[in-house]
Amino acid sequence: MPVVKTKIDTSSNVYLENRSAMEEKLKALKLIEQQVLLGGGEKYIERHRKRGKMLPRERIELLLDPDSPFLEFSTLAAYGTNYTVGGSVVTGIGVIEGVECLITANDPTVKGGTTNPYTLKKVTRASDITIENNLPSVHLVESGGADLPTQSEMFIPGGRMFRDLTQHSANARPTVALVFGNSTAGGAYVPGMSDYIVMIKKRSKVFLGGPPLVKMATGEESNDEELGGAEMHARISGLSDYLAEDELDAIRLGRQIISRLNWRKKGTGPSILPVEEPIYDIDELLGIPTVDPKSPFDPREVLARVVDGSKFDEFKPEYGTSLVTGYAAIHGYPVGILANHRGVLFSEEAEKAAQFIQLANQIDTPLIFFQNTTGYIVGKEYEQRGIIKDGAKMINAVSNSRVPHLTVNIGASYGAGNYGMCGRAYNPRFLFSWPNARSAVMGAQQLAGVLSLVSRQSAKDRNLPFDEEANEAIRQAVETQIEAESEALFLTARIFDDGIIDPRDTRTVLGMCLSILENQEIKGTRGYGVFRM
Amino acid sequence: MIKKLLIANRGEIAVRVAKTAREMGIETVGLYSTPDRDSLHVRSCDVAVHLPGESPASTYLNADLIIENTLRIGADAIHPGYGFLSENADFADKVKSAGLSFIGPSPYAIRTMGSKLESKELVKSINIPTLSSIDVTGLSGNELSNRVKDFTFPILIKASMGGGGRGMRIVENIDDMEQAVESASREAKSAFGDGTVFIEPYLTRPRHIEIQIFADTHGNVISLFERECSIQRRHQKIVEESPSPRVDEALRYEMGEAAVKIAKSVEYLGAGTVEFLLDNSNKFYFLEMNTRLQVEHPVTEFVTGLDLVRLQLEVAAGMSISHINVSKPLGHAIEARLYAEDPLNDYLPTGGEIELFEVPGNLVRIDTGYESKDTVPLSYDPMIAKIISYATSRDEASMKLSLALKKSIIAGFKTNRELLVRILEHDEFMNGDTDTGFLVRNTPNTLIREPSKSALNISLVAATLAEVAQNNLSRKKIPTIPSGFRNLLSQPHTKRYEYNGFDYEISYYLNASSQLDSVGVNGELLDVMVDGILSPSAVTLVIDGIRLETTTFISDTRIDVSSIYGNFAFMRVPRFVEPGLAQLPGSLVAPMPGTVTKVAVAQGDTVSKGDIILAIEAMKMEHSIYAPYDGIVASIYVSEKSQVSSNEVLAVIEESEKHEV
Repeated sequence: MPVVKTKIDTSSNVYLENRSAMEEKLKALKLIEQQVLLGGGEKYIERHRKRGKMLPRERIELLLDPDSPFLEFSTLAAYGTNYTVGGSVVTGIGVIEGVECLITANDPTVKGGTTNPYTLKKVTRASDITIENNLPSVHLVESGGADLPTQSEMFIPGGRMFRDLTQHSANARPTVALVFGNSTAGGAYVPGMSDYIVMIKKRSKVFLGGPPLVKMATGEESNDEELGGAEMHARISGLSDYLAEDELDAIRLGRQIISRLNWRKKGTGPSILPVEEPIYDIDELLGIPTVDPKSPFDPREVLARVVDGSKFDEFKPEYGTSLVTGYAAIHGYPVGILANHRGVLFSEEAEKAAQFIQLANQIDTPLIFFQNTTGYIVGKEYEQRGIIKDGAKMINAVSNSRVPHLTVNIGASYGAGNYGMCGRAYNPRFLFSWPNARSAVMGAQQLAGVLSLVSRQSAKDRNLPFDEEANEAIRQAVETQIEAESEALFLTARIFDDGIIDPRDTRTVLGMCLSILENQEIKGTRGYGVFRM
Repeated sequence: MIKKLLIANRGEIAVRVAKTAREMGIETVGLYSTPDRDSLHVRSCDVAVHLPGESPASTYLNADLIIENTLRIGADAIHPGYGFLSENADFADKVKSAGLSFIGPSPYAIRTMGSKLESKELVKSINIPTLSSIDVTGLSGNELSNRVKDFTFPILIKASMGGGGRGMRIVENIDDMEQAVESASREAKSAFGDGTVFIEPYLTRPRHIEIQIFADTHGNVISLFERECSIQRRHQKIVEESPSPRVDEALRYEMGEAAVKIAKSVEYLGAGTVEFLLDNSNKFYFLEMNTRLQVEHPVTEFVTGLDLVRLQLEVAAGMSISHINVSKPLGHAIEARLYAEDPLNDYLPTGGEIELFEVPGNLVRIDTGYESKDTVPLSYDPMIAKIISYATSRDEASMKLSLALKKSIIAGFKTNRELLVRILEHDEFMNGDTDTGFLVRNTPNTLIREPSKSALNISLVAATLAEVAQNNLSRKKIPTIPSGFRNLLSQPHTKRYEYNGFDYEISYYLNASSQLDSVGVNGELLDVMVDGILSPSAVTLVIDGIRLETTTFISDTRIDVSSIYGNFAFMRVPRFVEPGLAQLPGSLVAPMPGTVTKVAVAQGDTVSKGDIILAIEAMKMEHSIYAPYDGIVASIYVSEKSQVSSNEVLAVIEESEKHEV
């Protein structure tokens, strides 16, 4: 099989500049990650520890098989908003007793683990992952329910959390709740809706209303052990299935429950064996994405550092060369790959993509989209040649493809190119961004320029004088705003992707995703033969 | 001619004999007691006969049954090995009467040498010095002088019931004799309640030197030189070598001649060993003669190039040894006996399953009756193996042996391996300056040092890496993903091990190539870069640019790490403990595997601190379990004759204060 020949010169100025720009971005991300790990802050962490409790990631660490990987999602949720970065919950997929499970863990150091709009968005996304990939889930619950001051934004949509739990159950995706502490009101329904419930002696408190609320509502005097203590639920109400001695014991029971799920994946595991590492140094990925987003880079250089043995069998290499398509394997899993080369998608690229997507469906092979697109071409010639029709073919193919899609934004994802290249709205199973990634309806400069042209035209139409100075100020302000809102960090904070990853982790993350999605049957769309375009 | 040989023994010597017999084309018949049914010695023979039962009396010592089976299976000779029936003259008689060939000397020779008194008298009569002891209790004046007139000074006075040096006196001349006998007797009386004292020639730092002799039916008797076996624990040899660093050519000749003379005096046949004590002025004294193949025969085989078992079988078949022409020992061989015992706990036998037993075979010869996964039974000798090195010089041989011991993996229970290494590396041993008091002067507690912090840390890291490798290999899901991958690094991964009663928590991060980053031990970051080639059975560590090979073995409960930094058996502290399995406070556990011989209390009994609760016997040693404090016997889980394994909970004693509250 052909091995990609690299053209990267690691001593060139371009490479070194690219690399140092990427390293800066990664350094900045590290700082934010430190904030994420601090959750509600050192004071609350200390208070939590003094109660003999573990932090959510420590609980997860013990729940996982020793030394096994853990893929965390939406790590930077709510960054730059009024909410605590991280969204006061940890979500991810890890291996428990050999079973890939979706795991959520409330962070009780952040406002008692209550659910705010970002928490809801993050757990809703986790729930989607559970459904799409057909996973068992384990929920490490310690939550006071809704973050009351923000209830208006999340109370009504938040009901989905509980509906999803019962539907997971109905669709044979077992749900396990390990209750580590207070689990009040909305928090109480997570265990309430789960298939297996573990509560911890003297720790778990599960009730719809705590003693003060009960007193207010009915005047009844009660204590929290009577209302919702673990022993009460284990012995009297029957809400708890397992009574744990302590946190560690609850985790042990959680592992025990998973070990008895008789879980069988639908896929057959890696098939292209033995797995070969890329022949090029993965570390060189840092110097590949160009500093100037307008300057494209060859995605084959990325693939050479992501796919097994750096082997990439290109499909239609001479046709529609602004989009690279072909087959490869990642960690032994066969994949079809679409990667933008020179940003713009023309009719040829759109048709090539549509054809290739159909081919992958025919052979039930997952597709990976490496986005670095500025969108579909515009202009008289192209419109007349039917770029809308051709773009529509590509978007149609992506939308109706039934094989799993994975998307990585390695540079840019603008305009309808975002749709054609399986942006978030096209439901890729997972979508990750590199730190340099941007995404918007169009480039900030173009967008500001368009606005400025439109207002100039409007002034002209109404015969009004045009204030050049004011226009320039507005144009600049718009450009700055759009620029900021196009950045990976802005988008990941709003959970428009599943997280920003270090480019060097791309191979690992994709490998994990390919394994995870095999929990669901992989079957491409059928119907017509492949349309040759 | 011997066509079919029955080996009336077990363990390593049976394996050893079978090996040579097989090389000679002789069919081999093994024996096995019930607990030995899957033993290596059984697997090493062409056929094997089951001797039902466990006790030696009903099995390996059951002379009639063995002879009956030898006849039944059509073997024509019996090799008795060492121990068991090897020096039983009646057995040799019976074998002969049954028309079978006995691989060993005549019953007469066995009988004569078997009696300490008779053999000493015989040896004395042919003018070879012996060590004699005479009762001098209550003697004084002329009576005393007469009694000691055959002795040369200094003389050692010893208490009959003595120990620990009490009632012991070294007397330099006859004038001090009377007073010394009296005071020694007085001291013995007050210390042991018995004033009986003996005198013996006092040997300053005596060495145990023995001569291997060989005799055929044609009247040839030859000496195959000396072995030095001075390193002994409780009168049992544990390190043996040939030649002795003390014995020069003249002394070798002299001792060899003496040994040959002794052998001739009993018309000896086959392999025999004449044991002497050698004092520091190179005077030697006859101790006893062993009329069989010795445990330590391999060192002689190395320096003579002979196969002693082959010679035994050949002379039994009437062949002559006149062709043997070895004028002096060639090179140097050292043997170390590896025992399933804990030298730091009074040499208490350990034993159990050897989970993994690997000795670098390219460095040394290994004579053993065990392989990985075999069980070292409690019913027999706890020797696991003899490890023998051979080199041109003594220094090289001892370094080789020590290296082989260090690099071996013996996983499953405590052994004396560390002690053997410490002996081999001790100045006294290295200088060839050993005597039978070596292990009295240098106790295991002083020899076996605490490992250095860096050796311990390095070994802990190796254990961690081995476990990471194991976890990675056993991971069915996405096995090629780097171990412990995290896209958001949070707390480190941890492993916990218990070693010598202390818990060690190793914390680490795993980088993209499954290498450890930021390794800490109990929260203290190690000042080392750890790079490694991962495998559950061999971890290569690169620490500060120095590459180190370690051998590792992982079982459910422990990780063994061997390298030049020493051998560590780390107990794995489980991440989770099932509540029901947590040991109750006040649990008394078996210190070793064995049989309960006595249960002194019943459930509900009130006991005081130090009261005997029960006793366990293993390897003929009894170990009592005492109440750790005043309390009440809450549970007794065993009864008399129960078989218990190491660390099994035997009883629970509740502290009495708890009841009073």
